[in-house]
Amino acid sequence: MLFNSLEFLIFFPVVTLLYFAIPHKVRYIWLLVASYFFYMCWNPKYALLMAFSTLSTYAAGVLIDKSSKTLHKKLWVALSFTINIAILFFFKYFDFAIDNLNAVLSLGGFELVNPAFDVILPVGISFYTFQALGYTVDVYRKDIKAEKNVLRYALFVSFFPQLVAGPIERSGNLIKQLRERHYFNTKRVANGMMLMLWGFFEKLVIADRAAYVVDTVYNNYTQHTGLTLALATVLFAFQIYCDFASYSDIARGAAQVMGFDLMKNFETPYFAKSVSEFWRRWHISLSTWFRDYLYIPLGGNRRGRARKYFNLFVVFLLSGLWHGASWNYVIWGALNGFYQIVGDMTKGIRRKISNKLQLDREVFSNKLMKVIVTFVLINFSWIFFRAESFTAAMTIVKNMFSEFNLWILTDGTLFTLGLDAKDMFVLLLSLAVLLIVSIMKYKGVMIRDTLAKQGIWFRYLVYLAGIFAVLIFGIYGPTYDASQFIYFQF
Amino acid sequence: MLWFLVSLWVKFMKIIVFENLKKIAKAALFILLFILLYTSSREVLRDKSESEALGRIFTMPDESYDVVLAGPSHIQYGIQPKILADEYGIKACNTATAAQSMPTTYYVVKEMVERHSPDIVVVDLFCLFYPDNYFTPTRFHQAIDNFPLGKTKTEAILDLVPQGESEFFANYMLYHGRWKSLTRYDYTVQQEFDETSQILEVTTPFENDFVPLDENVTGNIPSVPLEYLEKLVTLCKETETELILTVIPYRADVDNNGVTGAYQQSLYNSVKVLAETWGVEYINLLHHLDEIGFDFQTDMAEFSHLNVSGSEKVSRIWGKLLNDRLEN
Repeated sequence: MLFNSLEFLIFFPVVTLLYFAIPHKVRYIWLLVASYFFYMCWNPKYALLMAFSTLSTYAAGVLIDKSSKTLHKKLWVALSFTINIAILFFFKYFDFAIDNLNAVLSLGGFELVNPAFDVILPVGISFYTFQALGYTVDVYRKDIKAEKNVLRYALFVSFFPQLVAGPIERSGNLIKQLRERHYFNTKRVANGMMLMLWGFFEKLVIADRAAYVVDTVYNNYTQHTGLTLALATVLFAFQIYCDFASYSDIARGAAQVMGFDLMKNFETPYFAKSVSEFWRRWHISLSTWFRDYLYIPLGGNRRGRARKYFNLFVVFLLSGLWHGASWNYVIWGALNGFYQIVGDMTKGIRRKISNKLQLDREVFSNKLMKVIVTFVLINFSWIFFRAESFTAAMTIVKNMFSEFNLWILTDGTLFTLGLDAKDMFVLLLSLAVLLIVSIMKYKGVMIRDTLAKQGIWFRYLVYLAGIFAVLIFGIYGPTYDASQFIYFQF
Repeated sequence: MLWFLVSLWVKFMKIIVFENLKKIAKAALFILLFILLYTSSREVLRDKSESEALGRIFTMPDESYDVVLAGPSHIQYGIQPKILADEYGIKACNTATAAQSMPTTYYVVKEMVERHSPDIVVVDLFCLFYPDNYFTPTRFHQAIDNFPLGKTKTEAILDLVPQGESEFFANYMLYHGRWKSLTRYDYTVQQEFDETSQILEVTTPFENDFVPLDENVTGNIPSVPLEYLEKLVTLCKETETELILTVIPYRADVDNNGVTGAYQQSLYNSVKVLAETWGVEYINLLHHLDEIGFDFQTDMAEFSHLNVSGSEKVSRIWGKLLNDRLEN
C-alpha cells in the first residue's frame, strides 16, 4: 500500500480511530495486525519472510540476554547477522552476484550460471532487516533489555508508518514507546497531520513533477547536452530529496498522530557546508546505523588515519550497495567516501590557505560558497545514482561539458522536457516554497508551533491552501501512472 | 460483545464529546470549509465538454421525462429533444454519450427508469459490435461521472470497471489535472439547459448509393453487449417501460476501426430476430431512408454522424412515431 494511494487515505484513519477506541492493553496487537495488513497489501507471501526475520532476531535477543558468557553472546549475534544478511543477500543481491560471476566466467570462457528462478525483491527488506539487526546489537551491548513479548517485538520490526522506507528506528527509541500509553491529543494529531500534508506536498507536487523532466532527459541522455543535463541533474537532486523526505515526513506524521515519535531522517541536507556534514543531515537513520553498527566496531577514527579512511571507505561502499544491487550505487557510495577522505586530508591545507588569504570563514558569502560547492559535489555523485549504467553516467558527464547551451532557457526548449510552461511554473513555485520552509527549519524556526499560535482564520487558510495545492497540483490519479516511492526498491 | 460496544460508545462520548465541545466545533468548521471548497473545485475542474447534457438530466426533478433516448453518439447527434418538445409536445431527454457501450447504456437507462419512470426508452444499437473486453476509461467517465452517487452508480462501477474503480468514485483523481486548461466557461454556473446543443453543424456530402444489407443476413453479437441488451429488455418489462431498439442512419457500408459495415448491419438483423421473440419494437432507419427523405449529400456531418439537417429529419420522424405511441 502506497502512502499516496486512496487505500491509505481510508486505511490510516480507520486504523487510528480504532487504535484510540480500543483498550490500551490490546492496542499494540491492533497495530501489529494493521502493520501486517499494510505489508501484505503488496505481497502476502513476503510477510512470512518478515515474520521469519522477526522471530530469528527476537530469539537472538532473548538468547543473548540469557547467556552469561560473552562468547555465547557473540555467537548469537553472529548467527542472527548470518541468517538475516543471508536472506537479504539472496533476495537483493543474488541476481547481481550471478551477473558478475557470469561476467568473470565469460572472460575465462567457462559455462555461465543460469538460475532456474527469478528473485523478487521484497519491499522494505533492507529497512526492516537493518532495524532488527540493530536491535540484536543493542541487546548485546546492553543498551536495552531484550523484549520478551514477541508480539510487541514483531510490531517494532513491522510498525507500518516506517516499515517500507524508514526511518530505520532504534530499538531504544521505539520499543519503549510501544509499551507507553498514548492518549488522543488534538494538538499532537494536528501536528502529525500537518507533517503528513507537507510530505504529500513534497512527494506529489515537487518530486513527481520534477520526475517528468529528469526521466525525459535521463531516459534519452544521448540526445541532450550541456545545461539540459545539468538542469535535469539538479532537478533529480530535488526529486530524490523530496521523494525520500516526503516518505519520512508522512511516516513521522502518521506515527505522531498515534502518539509515537520517530527519529528525524533529514535536516536540510542541501544546506550542508561539507560532504561529511551532508551525510549527517541526509538519511540520518541509515548514516547513524552504519556509524553505530559498522564504523565504530571497525575502529572508527581511533586507530590512526589510514584505518579511519579505510573504515570510511568501506562504510560508504556498503552504503552504496545497500541502496541497490548495481555497480552504479557502489560507485556512488565510493565517490561519497572519496569526497570525505579528500576533504579530511586537505582540511589542514585549506585552512592554511584561507588564513594566508585572510578569508573570514564565518561571513555569509564564504558559507554560501561552501554550500554551493558541496551541492555541486553531491549533484555530481547523483549522476551515478540516477543513470542507468556506469557508461551512461560517464556519457552524461561528458555531454554535460560538451556545450554551453544557455539558450535553452529562452528558446522554449525548457518546455519540451516533459513539463509545459504552466507545470514548470508550478514546479519553480513549489521549489521556492521548499526553499523558504528549509531556510526557516535551518534557522531553527518551529514552523508548526509558530503556525499553531496564529488565529484560527490564518491557520485554516494555510491548512486548506496546503490540502488543495496537493489535491489540484499534485501528480496522481489516472492521468499519471503513480510512480513508486523511489526508496521502495532499496 | 454488546457490552463492549456500549462501553466503547460511552467512553467515546465522554472523552470526545463532553470534554472537547470547543475542539469539536472547530473541527466541524474545518470539515465544512473543506467540503465546500472540495465540491466547488470539483465542479470547476469537471470536464464539461462532452456530457453536460447528461449531467443536467440527472439533476432534473423526478418524473421529468416521458421519453428517454439512450446509446452512443449516433443518437446523441441524431435526435433533438427540443424538436420533440417544441413540435410534438414530447418531454424527452437525450442521455447518449460518445461511444456509450451497451453495458453502460443499460445502467444509464436503469438510473433514468428509476428516477423518471418514462413511458418509452429508445436505444440505439450501433455499439453492439464492441468486443466483450471493450472498456475505455474516458468514455466510461463521460457517462458515469454524471450519475448521482447512489446504488446504480456503485453497481455500474463495480460491475463494469476491470480495475482502478476508485477513480470513478472520486473523479477528482482524474479531473484535478484540468487546472491547466480551465476557461471562463468552467467557472460559470450554467443557468439554462440548452437541449439543442448536441448538434453537428458541418456537412460532408456522400453519394446516395447506400444499399442496406439483406435483413436475412445475421451475425453473432458479442456475448457481453448481448447480455446487457437482454438485461435492458428485462428491466423495461419489469418496470412496464416500452423499449424501442433503433439504428440511426449512417454510412453503414463504411468500415469503422477495422469493423466492416456489413458485420455491423448483420448484428442489427440478429437483433431484429431477437426483438420479435422478446416482443420488443425494432426500427432500423437504414431501411427507411426514403420515407425519412434522407439525403446523404446534405444530411451527414461525416460518415458516422448526422448533421443538423439530418438530425432534424430523423427527429421529426421520431416525433410522429413517439406521439403515436404516447397517445396510444
